[in-house]
Amino acid sequence: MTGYAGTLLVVLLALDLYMISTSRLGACIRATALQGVVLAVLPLALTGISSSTPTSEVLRLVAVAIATLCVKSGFIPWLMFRTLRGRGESREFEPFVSLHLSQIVNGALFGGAFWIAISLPPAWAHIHTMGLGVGLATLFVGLYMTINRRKEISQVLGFLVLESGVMVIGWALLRQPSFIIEVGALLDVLVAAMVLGILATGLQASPDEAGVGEEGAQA
Amino acid sequence: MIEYGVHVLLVVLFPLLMLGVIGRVKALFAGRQGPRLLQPYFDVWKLLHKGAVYSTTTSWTFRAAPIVSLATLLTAALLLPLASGSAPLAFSGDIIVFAYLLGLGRFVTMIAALDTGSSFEGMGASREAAFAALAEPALLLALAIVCVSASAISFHEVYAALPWGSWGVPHPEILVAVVVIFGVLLAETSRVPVDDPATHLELTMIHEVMVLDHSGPDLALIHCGSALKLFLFAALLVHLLVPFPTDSLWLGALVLCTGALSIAVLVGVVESSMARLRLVQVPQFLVGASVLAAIGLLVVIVRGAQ
Repeated sequence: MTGYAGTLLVVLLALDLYMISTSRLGACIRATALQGVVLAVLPLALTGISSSTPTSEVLRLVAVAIATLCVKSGFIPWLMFRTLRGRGESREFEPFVSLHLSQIVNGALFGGAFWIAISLPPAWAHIHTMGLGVGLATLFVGLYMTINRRKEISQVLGFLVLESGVMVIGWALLRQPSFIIEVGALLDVLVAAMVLGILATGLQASPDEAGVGEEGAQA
Repeated sequence: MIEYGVHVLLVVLFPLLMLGVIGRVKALFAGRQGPRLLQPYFDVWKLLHKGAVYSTTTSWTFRAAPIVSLATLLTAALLLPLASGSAPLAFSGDIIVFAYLLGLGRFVTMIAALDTGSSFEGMGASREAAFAALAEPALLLALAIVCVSASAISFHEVYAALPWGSWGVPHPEILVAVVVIFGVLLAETSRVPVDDPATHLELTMIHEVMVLDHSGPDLALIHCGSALKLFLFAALLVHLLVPFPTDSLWLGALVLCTGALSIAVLVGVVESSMARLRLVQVPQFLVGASVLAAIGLLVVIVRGAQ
């Protein structure tokens, strides 16, 4: 199973790149959902299950995988799509840095992430170098999206990507199931997405209800 | 000796069939019966028997361009292993010569377009130059992925030393290279989503607008050249995806032809199911391909450092 970790990590990076280069919010949400699927399978590949692994550990890994799948590619994308429909937006029109330039900047960010991963001292030899590189790269992409985009939904998406990066880093560093980090990361995302999701719809709703135009007419 | 014979036969006879297959797939998607599979051969035959018309503005550059452009592609075809593990002109470093022979062919087509003095052709040449400049890093980075992971710099060594994962599945970085080269194929052979070979509006054309003034045998040579370019890219991809059957020449030829036809079908499907990108989005597509190739290269480097 460990042989497929590389392929999964490359898919993760390709999805990062896709999210950076598309302005369509729906496509971004679908990409995060797909990242959730990859993240669910990734621990199984990174920890290297074999026939000698105790059953309880396997069950634990599978449970984590199912939980990740449900939250990251089920619940959160559903919530995001709901928010998206509620707001009637479909595109991120004016990011601060253009999408062309973002691609190049992120190429450089990827390079930096991998450089950090490679140049760790040899005492860290048990970690999965490529996993760490991809995790850092995903984290950087998430940060970049959060900073670069103007719409709340895109910023929440950026935060989600950042959380995925943290999760990949966790798995690459520990390479064994540690439930606390896992659940912590999931809860973090869940709370953030719900709060920001409600906030996003609330922000849109309040100007309508406040009726700025009508007040102006009355005055 | 016989393997070089097969090589030359493949280069001369096979490429136009790929155009026929693409045409047929597009017709199927549109619910039409479509032209015969061999229609491109008839077209080229017809064009070869026509006379050529030359504008009085043009010089010898315009007449030489189709010949030189086809010659560069034919030379490139001699560098790439097709049915057997080796190519007739293989030498160390032929991968770089291959990439730049394609560039030379493009340069000649562009100066011929400028030679006509037509404003439309000049516009086409400028677009081709802009997009080619962006497609080139993507192609070279993808080739670099392949070269670094096989630690070799010529096609026959690379194909012999390419690392394979379990169950004959290529390594992820090789798959990245394949995706990038497919993107470059679409751009270089002026296919949807970068360019539309069937368009008839000069304002939206890229490659086709450059060859508007060529007629008769010259146009036939240009058609052969673009088919050959498609075939070369397809052969490059097939060898990256399928382990090379070095023991049998005929099996190799069969694998290559099947693979190339599958890629033609894939190109047809992409053309039928996707809309053309707006001109401003094409650079984004190509830069994206370059960055993806850079990611692949990083992955190879990390794998080497581990």
